[in-house]
Amino acid sequence: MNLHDLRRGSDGPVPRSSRLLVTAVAGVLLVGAVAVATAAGGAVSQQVSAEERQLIAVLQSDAPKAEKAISCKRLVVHGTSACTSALGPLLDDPQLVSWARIALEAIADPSAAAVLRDGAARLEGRSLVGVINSLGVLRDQEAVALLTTRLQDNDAAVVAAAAVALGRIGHPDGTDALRTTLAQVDAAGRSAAAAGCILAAEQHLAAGQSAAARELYDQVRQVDVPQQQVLEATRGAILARGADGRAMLLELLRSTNRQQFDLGLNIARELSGREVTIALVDEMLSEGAQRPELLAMVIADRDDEAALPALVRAAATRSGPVQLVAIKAIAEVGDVSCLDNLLELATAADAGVRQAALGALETLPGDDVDAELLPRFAGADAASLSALAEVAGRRGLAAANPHLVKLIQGSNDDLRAVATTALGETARLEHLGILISQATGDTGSDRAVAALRSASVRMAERDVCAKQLVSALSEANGPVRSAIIEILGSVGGETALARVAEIARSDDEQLQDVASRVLGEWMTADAGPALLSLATADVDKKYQVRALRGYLRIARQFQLPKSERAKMAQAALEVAQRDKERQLALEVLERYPCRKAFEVAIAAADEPATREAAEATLHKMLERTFEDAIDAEQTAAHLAGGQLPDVRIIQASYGTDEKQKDVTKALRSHAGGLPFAVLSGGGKYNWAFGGDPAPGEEKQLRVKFVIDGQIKSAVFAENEPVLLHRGDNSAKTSETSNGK
Amino acid sequence: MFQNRTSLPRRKFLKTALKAGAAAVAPTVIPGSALGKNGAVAPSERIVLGGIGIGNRGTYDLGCFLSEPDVQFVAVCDVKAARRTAVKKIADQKYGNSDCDTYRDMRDLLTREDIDAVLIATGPNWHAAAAVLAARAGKDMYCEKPCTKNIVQSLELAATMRRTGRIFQAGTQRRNLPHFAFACELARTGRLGKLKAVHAHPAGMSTGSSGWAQPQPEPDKEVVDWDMYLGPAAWRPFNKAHLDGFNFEKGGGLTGGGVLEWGSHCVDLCQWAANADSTAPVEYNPPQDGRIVARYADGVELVIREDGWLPLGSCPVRFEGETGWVEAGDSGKMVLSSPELLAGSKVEEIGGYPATFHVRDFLDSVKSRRPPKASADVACYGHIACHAANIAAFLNRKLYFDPEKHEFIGDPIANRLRSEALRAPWRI
Repeated sequence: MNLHDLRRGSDGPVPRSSRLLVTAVAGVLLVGAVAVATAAGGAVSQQVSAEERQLIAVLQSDAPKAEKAISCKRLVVHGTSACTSALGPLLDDPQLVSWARIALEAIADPSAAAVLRDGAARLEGRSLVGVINSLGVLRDQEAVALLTTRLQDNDAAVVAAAAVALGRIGHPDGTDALRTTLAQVDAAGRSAAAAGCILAAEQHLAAGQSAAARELYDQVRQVDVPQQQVLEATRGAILARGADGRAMLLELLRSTNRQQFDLGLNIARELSGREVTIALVDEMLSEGAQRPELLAMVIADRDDEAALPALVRAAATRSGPVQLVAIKAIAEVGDVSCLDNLLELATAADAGVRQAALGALETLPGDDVDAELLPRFAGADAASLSALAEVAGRRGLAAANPHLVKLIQGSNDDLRAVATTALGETARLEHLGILISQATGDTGSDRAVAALRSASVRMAERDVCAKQLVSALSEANGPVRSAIIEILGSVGGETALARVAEIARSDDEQLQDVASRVLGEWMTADAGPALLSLATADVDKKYQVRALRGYLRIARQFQLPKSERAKMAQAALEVAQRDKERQLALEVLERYPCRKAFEVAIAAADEPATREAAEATLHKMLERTFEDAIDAEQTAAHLAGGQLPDVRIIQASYGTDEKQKDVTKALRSHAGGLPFAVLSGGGKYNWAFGGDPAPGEEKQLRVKFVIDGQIKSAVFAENEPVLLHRGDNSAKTSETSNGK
Repeated sequence: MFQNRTSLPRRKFLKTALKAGAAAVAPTVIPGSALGKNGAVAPSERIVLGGIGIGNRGTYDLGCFLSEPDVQFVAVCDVKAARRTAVKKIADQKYGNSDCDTYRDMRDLLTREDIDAVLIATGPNWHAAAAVLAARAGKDMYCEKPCTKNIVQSLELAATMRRTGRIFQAGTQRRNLPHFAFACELARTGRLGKLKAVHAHPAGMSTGSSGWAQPQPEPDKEVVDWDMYLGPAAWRPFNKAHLDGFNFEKGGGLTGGGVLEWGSHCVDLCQWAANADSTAPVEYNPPQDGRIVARYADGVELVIREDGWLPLGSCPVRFEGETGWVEAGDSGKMVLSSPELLAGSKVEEIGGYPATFHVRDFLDSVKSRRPPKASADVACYGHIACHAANIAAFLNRKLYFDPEKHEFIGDPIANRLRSEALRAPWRI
């Protein structure tokens, strides 16, 4: 049995027995006529397409409900006013009403609304709620009277739906009815009306009709409705008043009711205006302020410079959370004028204040801040110098390097430590030597090594940096040498790679351990040969597994041609001593199927050590390629230990007889020399070949190819698995001749 | 008169030289003592949490919540009895009691006045509708992604959160991971030069329908409440193949697929990087050679592509400017065009895309009312970009989108796909 004996039928609109009745295929079929329907552009063509006629026929037939349901879904694309009357009767079917509404809401023309209104006049229960919801979505003005009547319905769900629909429609008559209902005794009715009123008020507000909005919101606030609705109305009432609403806002911010206070914080972020900012600042600084730290956050978020003086004052004079938040808020709204205040706070006795100020100095915006920081180094005391150095580092301020170098060369250990860390963030290539000396010298520390790492990984002149690091290896002690090897790994590049590879093969056990690990985690594919070499040459096999895994990591994860990955897997299979690494190599083949990958897997299936695993890999490769379109297990067994035929695609075209596109290049790319094609987009031709050449029509893929020296032709129905074969057993093959 | 919360000022992100990295995931500026962190938690500072639809992903999320000392989990709702029982067991074991209540209908859980916030981890079919119900009940929420099924749902979700004043955090936790945040900051602050393109991995581009499966005997409501499971989705008979909530009706069952599933992470990060949290691309091309190319109004390209990624783990993104680029993935690592881009920055490497920081960000927002990183407004436009790309893929044609009017230009069929009727009684 060979590949072409195992092919099954192509996908069609009817699903495979084990699958859902109606599947994704429906989606693909939809697309065709869409272009036709919109060919003229603008409004949907009211011309009834053949597709729509077919769908209407299904709706009016005795077809199973499943077919009617999916027809509704397809009418979203194909439907016009011609189908709405056929959708109407479906509203009476509790199982199909939701499907019919999908189509009617989408078509959304007057006839669709009329069908829904008819439904609303005769339906009840959930179905009625559904059509009312749809009328609200369509904002059907003609439904206002009908919906107003439904406000008095005995079914609370119907009342709620009608109120929301009226709120969405926003017609004055509907809004009046909602306001009347708001005064009802029935709590559910009041709540429903409140929901509608809030929606209607929102529309007024969006349209700039603040007075009308305010009136509605205020009315809702005055009736007994659930707290959440009161909150919504209160928010609207304040926003409708604009800056004049700040008194109401402050009232919320003074409330002991958590929900009201939370709402106040929300609104304080929404309501714009300098007066509002000032009122909030005053409130934050007042003696009785609730959670002033939360108000400070609000003020920072408002990004209004009017708040800055008060924030600076709070940072300087307050304590606790308010002070901390005020300092951090300055970073958001402040400028260079805040520099001295923050520098002073950065030397405060309280560690929390100090860190907050340093954080603020780090993020304070503006180049002028950088420029103003530099002169402050001169004449500063030790505490200020420490703060300045830290800020320079955090801001990446390279212009501060001379000051930092001076501090490193000074006698104050604390300042030297801070400046070393800072220089790690600001150093240029010329400062690398200083950091190397700090790291490798007698007083070398973890901090100095960390600074060296920070600086090294930023150096644009990677190889120059690596050379300096390599030179430093001879001067460093054991732990620092290990650290430098790791830094070389982070720096990368040819120089670093060569040296690390060399150390990995050295006889220094400790360094070999570090270097082989670093090599195994190398971030570029050029480490492959070094890793393979280490895996091969590692005489006592101590690091063979590590090296081989690093090598396979590159084959699996890095950007490489598929054939290159397959070659690497092949090399790994030759070296591997354990089943675990063999399996990893086979997984590379499985993950990136191509001709070479199949060849390697087929060959591996002929080797006793890998026979079983390789056959399983072949099985998975085929399964991945064809899903269940062929019997992958049998095909894998057939391929194992055999040979792939030589295949070359001469020409391929896709489409109908009249409308075709040349897909030779694409198919060659997908097939990659294999006798079958792995198509992207779930195997769908339109995806794989860059579009639909003949929307709505039956299409074929026609392929002319050479297989084992024979020229063949084959025709595939749309989306059928592409299997190119010798043709002995396939009805698809239409022509055979000798070829080269 | 009032300002859009989407454009909430964060001047430091725009004005300063880049200092992101670890700072991007630092907790809010409220001191831990005030928030009740690190030790004793005053009852007034405790956030009482309920769970809705807690399956595999939800159980992971719940673990993140339970590890926060100021969270008290009190109730779970699920349409499946087995899951209700399993989650109750987790909670009861955590607290050493049997107090966790179980519900089949989320409306019953939402009526509890003691619950402040909910974790919504149903399938995507329910996400938006459940979030709106929770907001109307006065609850804040952490909602798994994808949060919406279509463009209109995205807009309604954001509008509802604004109207109700609720805190909403989309489950796009990469917004709170330092290397992703740092990469976005590089792009946002011009450190890569003028931004040219942002790239997102979609994990598949197919679109499909959940359809209508062969009827199977419907279990007892107490075992699986099929009607509640369907929720806002159009009715169909019970079939256990549909019970995989993760895939059921994703994207409305018409235009779902990987672009939405994975894109709600990767496209979301691209939106952030492109300073596009309150807008969406204006042009969408159909897929070609495994990529969908969209374009923002300022010319920046959004490239949604399957392959060509560096080995940086799942969910990779890449941002390209005129002078540099950065690529990052779930390994916690990133690759930069120039090491100098790291100047002055320490970026913590956190692999495995944990949600712990994102959950903390949400909890802090519940207390401070400062919008979290993945607020409903932010999620709105990220999801719109995914939906629009999917519609272009589904219709297989180029589409133009007006992000102000939220409609496709000159393509009424595409506009029909912006929304879908919800099964009664549900509405948003």
